[in-house]
Amino acid sequence: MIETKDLCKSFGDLKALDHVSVSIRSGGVFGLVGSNGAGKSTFLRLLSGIYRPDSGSVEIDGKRVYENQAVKSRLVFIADDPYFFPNATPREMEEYYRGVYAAFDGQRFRKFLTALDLDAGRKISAFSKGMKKQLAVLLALCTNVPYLYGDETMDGLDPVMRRAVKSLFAEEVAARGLTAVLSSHNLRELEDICDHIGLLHRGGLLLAQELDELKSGLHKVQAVFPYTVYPKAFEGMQLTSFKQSGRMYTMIFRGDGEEIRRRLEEKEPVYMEMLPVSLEEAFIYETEVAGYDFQTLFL
Amino acid sequence: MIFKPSSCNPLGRAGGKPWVFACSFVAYFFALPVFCALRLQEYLHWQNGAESALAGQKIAGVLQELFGLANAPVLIVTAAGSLMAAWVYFAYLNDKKQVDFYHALPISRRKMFFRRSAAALLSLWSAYGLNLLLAAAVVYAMGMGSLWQWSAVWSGLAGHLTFSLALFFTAVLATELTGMHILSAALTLFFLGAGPSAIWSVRQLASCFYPSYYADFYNWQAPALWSSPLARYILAAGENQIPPADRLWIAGGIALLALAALLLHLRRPSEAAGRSIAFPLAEPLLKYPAALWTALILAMLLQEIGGQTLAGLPYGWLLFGALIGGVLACQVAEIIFQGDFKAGKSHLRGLAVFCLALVAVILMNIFDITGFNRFVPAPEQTAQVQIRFDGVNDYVYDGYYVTNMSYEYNTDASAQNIRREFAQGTLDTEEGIAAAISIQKKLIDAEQAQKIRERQGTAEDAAIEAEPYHSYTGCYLLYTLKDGRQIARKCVYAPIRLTDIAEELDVIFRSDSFLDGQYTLFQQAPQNLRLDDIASFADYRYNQWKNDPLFLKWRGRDLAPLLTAFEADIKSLTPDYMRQNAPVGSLSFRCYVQGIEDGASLEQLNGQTYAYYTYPLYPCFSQTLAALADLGYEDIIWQDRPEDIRRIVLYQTHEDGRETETVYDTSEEIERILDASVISDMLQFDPFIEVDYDRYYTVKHLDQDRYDTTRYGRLDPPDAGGSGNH
Repeated sequence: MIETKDLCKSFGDLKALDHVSVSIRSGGVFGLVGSNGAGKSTFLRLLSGIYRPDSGSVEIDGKRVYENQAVKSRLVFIADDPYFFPNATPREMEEYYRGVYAAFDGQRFRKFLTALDLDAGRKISAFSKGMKKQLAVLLALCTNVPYLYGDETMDGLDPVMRRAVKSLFAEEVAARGLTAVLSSHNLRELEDICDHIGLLHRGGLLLAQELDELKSGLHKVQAVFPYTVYPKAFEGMQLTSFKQSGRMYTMIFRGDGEEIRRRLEEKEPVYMEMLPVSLEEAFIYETEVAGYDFQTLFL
Repeated sequence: MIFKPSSCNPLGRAGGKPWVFACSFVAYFFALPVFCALRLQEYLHWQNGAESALAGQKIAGVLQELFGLANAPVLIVTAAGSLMAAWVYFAYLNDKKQVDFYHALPISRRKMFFRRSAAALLSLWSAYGLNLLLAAAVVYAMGMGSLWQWSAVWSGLAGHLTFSLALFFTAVLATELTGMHILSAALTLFFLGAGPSAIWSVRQLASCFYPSYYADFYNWQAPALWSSPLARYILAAGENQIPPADRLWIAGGIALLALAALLLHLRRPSEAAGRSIAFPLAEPLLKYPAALWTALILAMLLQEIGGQTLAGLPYGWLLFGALIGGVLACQVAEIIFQGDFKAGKSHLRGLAVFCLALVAVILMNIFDITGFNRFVPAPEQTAQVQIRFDGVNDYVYDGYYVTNMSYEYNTDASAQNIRREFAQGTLDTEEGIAAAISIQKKLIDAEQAQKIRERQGTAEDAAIEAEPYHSYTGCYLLYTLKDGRQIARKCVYAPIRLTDIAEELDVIFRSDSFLDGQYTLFQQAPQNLRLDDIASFADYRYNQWKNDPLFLKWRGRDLAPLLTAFEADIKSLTPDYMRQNAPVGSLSFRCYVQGIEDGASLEQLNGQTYAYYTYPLYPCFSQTLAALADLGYEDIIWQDRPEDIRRIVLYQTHEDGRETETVYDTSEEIERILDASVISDMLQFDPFIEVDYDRYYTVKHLDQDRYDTTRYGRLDPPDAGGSGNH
């Protein structure tokens, strides 16, 4: 388990992280979301032991991370702009990683390279940005370490590659209990893969919750009424969102799904359908509860 | 095992820098094997011919130089290579991507530091070692293997590697303190050069503020050299060794540098990559010393270029230079630290404090708050004084101080260094010490009075006064106090006449210990001495003496009686006598430093190092003249005689610039002129006599083959009572 307690980090006068406390259980994917400058990269670098915390602690399985080689041998970090040795090839990077990470699976790595049509003998400097990102992800996955951190990992990947990477992560989580912490400024990107989500804003952690828990108790309903309805018609029901488009109303309620269905049916809608709640919609609710306008957090 | 193949392999692709090795190898190739071949090629056939032993000696010396510390190309390559290796192998600290990569890996920073240091140094040293072997092969191939000296090789190897370490860790330190490549290089060069240049400028400023500061007494060289590993390296190369006494200090210094580099490496925040300065706490520690250094250098430069005053303000250029230098350096530093041209405004308070402190320190020195210039030890505190007169009765001529040459000068043939100064003598009696202190006080008072006159007068008044010649006398004093402390002072160019310190001079010239210091010839072993020249200023034949077979024959000459007589005569001289009477000639001796072996030829002696002593002969040296006569030198005309002279021509430059010639050809006029003038050759030997340089006489002799002698009229002839008329 990854645990941070009152984690603080400043760069001069800029407070990048302000008393961030979070527990990330093992064997899952934690999505770290936030706008630009929220502190996501700083947080990941603290988890990776690159930065020293100004105060607070970062621990993995109860052991501090910074300058702890035993702990760091169990994690790998994929930077937003990954570094490769000048004039190196994927084969040479593999050789280096094999020397650093004892459990590096070279065979698997070469198999991935072939599958993604990446030439092992070609200079990485000739790769495109997306190809470099792919290579970085593959190298990290093949280290077979229990903890993987990715900073804007999906950035630069094409939709097909994104899907492939997501499924790889999912496989790793399922097969060997990989714990991944992935940051992004795009909620939709993380929705498919994460089972735990955290929202950073201006160095502070606004929320950190299981995705299921976040979405649980929220129900999205699309209904058509023969008459005009107003939000006050749903007093007594926890209405969190109300949108009208002609006679079509899209509403999000919190509470028991069956109870919500029953009470809506009492209103005799012409049409009614229960729809899945998106992560963004769940966030909107949660952040508004916290007193923030979600839209402004990402604009 | 230190080196894993795939992690920081010094010669591998991943983490290694093979081009560092390649460049080092090429550079060392030219500095060692090629340089060796070029230097030794002239000795290729050294074993042929009768001079083979001598050639062998020379080759051995060359080999010692080539493979030792004194090999300048190796020094340059090692210095440059060490700095480059540090910058290259630790450059990753300045790159955000690389820092993220390496610091996320399960490799401790300590291990990273040692591996990179080892890889960098191994790249450089292996290139050096391989070329050393190649150079050795060249030596053997040229047939000079038998002259090879392993001791020189090990000594050179150890020396170069030692300083390579020092320079390497200095550059690593600089790289760790900064976050940008160019600043790393700049800071490294600052570390290497700031110490010696700052110490030099402080020395120069001290001399500027404190005329009595005797800079040569203080060993500034040592702190300057020890403040920079590069300076120390260059000195060691010049001596072709690291002195055994210094080895422990150098090792300690390197250990400290390495430790500091390691500590900084461990503490360096990863986020410093790309910033100007890695440690915020280091900003003032770098900014203010750099500002102070800039202030000192600019102050000295402007003082040298602009002079003592700026718009009538004494030390104006110095103050201006210091302030401008300090302000500029502080502002530039802030701009660099913050990466913003507007950053200078935000630290004005610190800048103001710095400038105020700088001005305060300079003003304290200008006004001699501590009383340094006026300090004179109490006689009862003083155990002895070493005094050396620098310019006795010097005069100002056409705006320049003219120093009469000393009557003792040493020529070290090997060093080609002529010392133009009086010798130093020691005064250890109460009387002597009191005399020296009295002289210093009078010189200080005279200097102060001159400064007051200059301040009160106009710029023209401060220049040369109406009286054409104004005596200036100075001295260097080294006091040894009874508590063991030593205090050095100099008083130079004080406008004082010798008559003002006549009593003190008489006491001093009666001190045996002082005279021993003045006339060190008589402390040399007589068997190491040879009479080199007897000069009579008036005798046209004196040049011939140098070529006289009798004169050149040194075998069998016992100089002891001459030396004994000469010592007795010269040590009996008093300042009063020297003021009244001019020397008529001189004796010159060579003292061979290595001694003279029986049977050594003149040619062999000429190849030796020797010291040269020339002392004056006065008319009263009856014992010396008798001893010279005993040696066969009796037919010498010591003074111009009226009966030998046809006419005397006076050449005079007037105040309006006119030059006139006046001829005197009557015996009365000739006799009068001879009495009231001195021969020009004596001037370098007796500074107690003042002459008028605007009037000189050319003496034409009856003997047409005889060369003319030049004379100057005395300003203070013995019978004129100081009227100066003639």
